Amino acid sequence: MYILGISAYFHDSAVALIHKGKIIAAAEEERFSRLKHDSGFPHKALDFVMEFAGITASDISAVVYYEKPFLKFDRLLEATFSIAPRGFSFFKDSFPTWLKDKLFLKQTLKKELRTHKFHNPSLQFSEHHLSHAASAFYPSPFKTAAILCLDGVGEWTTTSLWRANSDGMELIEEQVFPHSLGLFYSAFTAYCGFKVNSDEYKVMGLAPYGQNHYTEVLKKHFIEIKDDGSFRLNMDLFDFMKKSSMLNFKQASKLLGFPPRVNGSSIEDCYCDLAASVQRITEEIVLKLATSLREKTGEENLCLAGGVALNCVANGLISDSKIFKNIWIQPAAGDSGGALGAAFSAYYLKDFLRKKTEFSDTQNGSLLGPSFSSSAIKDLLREQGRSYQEFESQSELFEKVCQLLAAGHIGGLFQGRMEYGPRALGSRSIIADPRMPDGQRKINLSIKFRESFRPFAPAVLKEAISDYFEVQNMSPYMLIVARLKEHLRHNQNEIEGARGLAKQKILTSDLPAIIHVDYSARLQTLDEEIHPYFTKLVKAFYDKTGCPALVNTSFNINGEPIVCKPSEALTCFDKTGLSFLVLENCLIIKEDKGGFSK
Amino acid sequence: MIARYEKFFFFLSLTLMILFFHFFYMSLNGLPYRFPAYVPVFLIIPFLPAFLSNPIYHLLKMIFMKIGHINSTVLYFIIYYFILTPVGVIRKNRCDLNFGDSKKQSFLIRRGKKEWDLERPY
Repeated sequence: MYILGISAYFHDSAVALIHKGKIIAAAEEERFSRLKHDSGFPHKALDFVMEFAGITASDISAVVYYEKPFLKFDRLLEATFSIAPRGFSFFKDSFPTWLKDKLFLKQTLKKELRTHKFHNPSLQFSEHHLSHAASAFYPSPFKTAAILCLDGVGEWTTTSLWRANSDGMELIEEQVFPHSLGLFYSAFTAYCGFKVNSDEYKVMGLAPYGQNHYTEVLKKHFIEIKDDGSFRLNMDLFDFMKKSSMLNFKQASKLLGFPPRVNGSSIEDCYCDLAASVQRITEEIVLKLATSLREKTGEENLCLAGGVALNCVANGLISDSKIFKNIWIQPAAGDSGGALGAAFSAYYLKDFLRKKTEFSDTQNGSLLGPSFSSSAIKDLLREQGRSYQEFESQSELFEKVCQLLAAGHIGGLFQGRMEYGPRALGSRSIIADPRMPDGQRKINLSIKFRESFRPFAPAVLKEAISDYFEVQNMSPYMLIVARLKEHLRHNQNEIEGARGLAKQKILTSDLPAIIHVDYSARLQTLDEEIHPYFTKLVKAFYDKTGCPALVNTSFNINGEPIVCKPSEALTCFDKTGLSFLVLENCLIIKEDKGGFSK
Repeated sequence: MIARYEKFFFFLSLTLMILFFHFFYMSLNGLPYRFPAYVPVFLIIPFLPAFLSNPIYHLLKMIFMKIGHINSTVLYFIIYYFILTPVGVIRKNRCDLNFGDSKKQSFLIRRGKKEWDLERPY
């Protein structure tokens, strides 16, 4: 029988379907609804997974929600009491929704499920961090592992340390609300003028432009860190319990010496320095927690999940430190991955089933979303009157694509099943030649329409990785940052001497589009067994140019979800400076870039 | 006016009852769990909201009749300052803002082996 996991009503709603412990399909609702971080009930994602599996509601043995709503309400009430009488603003904003809807979540879920012909489904409730831990351990290739979950907050838990083996998972230690690393990071994301629960990765991308001048101030006034990585926040300075703003901006600006940044304004050096300091503290906590987890469990394998596990710079440090021999990170580490973890926890923990261990992970390359047939794509292209070329053989298509890439063109790649999780892994990707000197600026400004400082990630052939990067663990899901080898770095002295965003103008290496100003790159290591199509494409590019990497960034424009359907890929192609678009075996080239005649 | 908004006041009372029910029973360290010997005493607690909500109910009615319409901000203001704040002041809170003041080594809370009950939403 099938088990359905659902995450919804906070952010990043998603659905995952498993059958006998194997993942069948999983997808985020935002890809279908086109609302970034959609928090509504995942109707369309649910329709997709059911249709993909070819099943009806009667085939589903359990529907599992990813957290316990009453425990969450319990935490909200306690939080309101603890700061009374100062929490009126928070109370007024959050309680009406809870009292009207969220408290009756069981009924709401049943009502929504009834629209999908579920009659009296067996509804179960996992716990937020249990879902994260299960999403990290059960699809991993490990028989036994230590698990570290770090996020904003679920019910009460904000940080949890686990020990897992084939018999189950045991929560060893935890930290509870309001002392949260995720909320700490989000608070300074807001201070730097970015969006909370959405733009944290921008702070991570901004950090290498700055110097960690504020680390001491932050440690003295904002956060206290113990040797084992546990921490507590100074709640006099954090406002997330009182109102919707995260930080007491007035007091924080006195301590930091500069005001919060207004969204959209220029990014001055002080914000780069703050980002660097916040990132440094996050790394320190994550590393210390990993070290103490290793000591407590004695495990060689580590699984990571929770929103903070998307901080690939911190992940890279764990990897480099060799605290653990092997690391596996859930690609959908945020709340969307909770859907998968909820389904796994019901499958394994409820019936005390033993985990089966495979040689590789069972995440299927995280390619768990919908795919579209060539014939459907051709029908759409004809309907829109597009001129395109259809390729019979994959090698011919790759030859043409590599030719375009080598000539400096930037293209869209749309093939196979859509990715589950925030990273594009070659199914819904924008690709380019990483050797282009102005590649980063060009893609940021003319294609993605986003801030020019943000770096791009490379997809690199596994075989060539050690020639370029200092890397300890493979990173098939683009979740580990590695440093470029010393001898390949350019202008190190100039970069060290430069301040803030001025570093952008200095050439870092022969692969400037993918190497950040601190000589790091967020790697996707390509393995033919995990991502066969994309690996073959990069191999073809390597054969043609001698460069074993491509720029790989998500196929979307700033503020929009990654494209899901071919029609959305075509709209994105039309609206941006992309030169060509691969839709399965069809290639479309813009007319001014030498497009095909009809 | 009152007849028109009676449904609304009914929901207000219901909300208060939910809150009280939560304080004493659902909350994992609620009173019956802390003092199991006094469970019979706690059986009367569900009736307390009816008494306590009555003055709030009349106060709100008076305010709303005076201003001529139901204002949700006033409603939440009354609930927050007249009910939650006093309860918050007298009650030990699990949301510990100054968590671990006495802790020298670690802020981590040790947990033991736990059986996961997926059937319950709490």
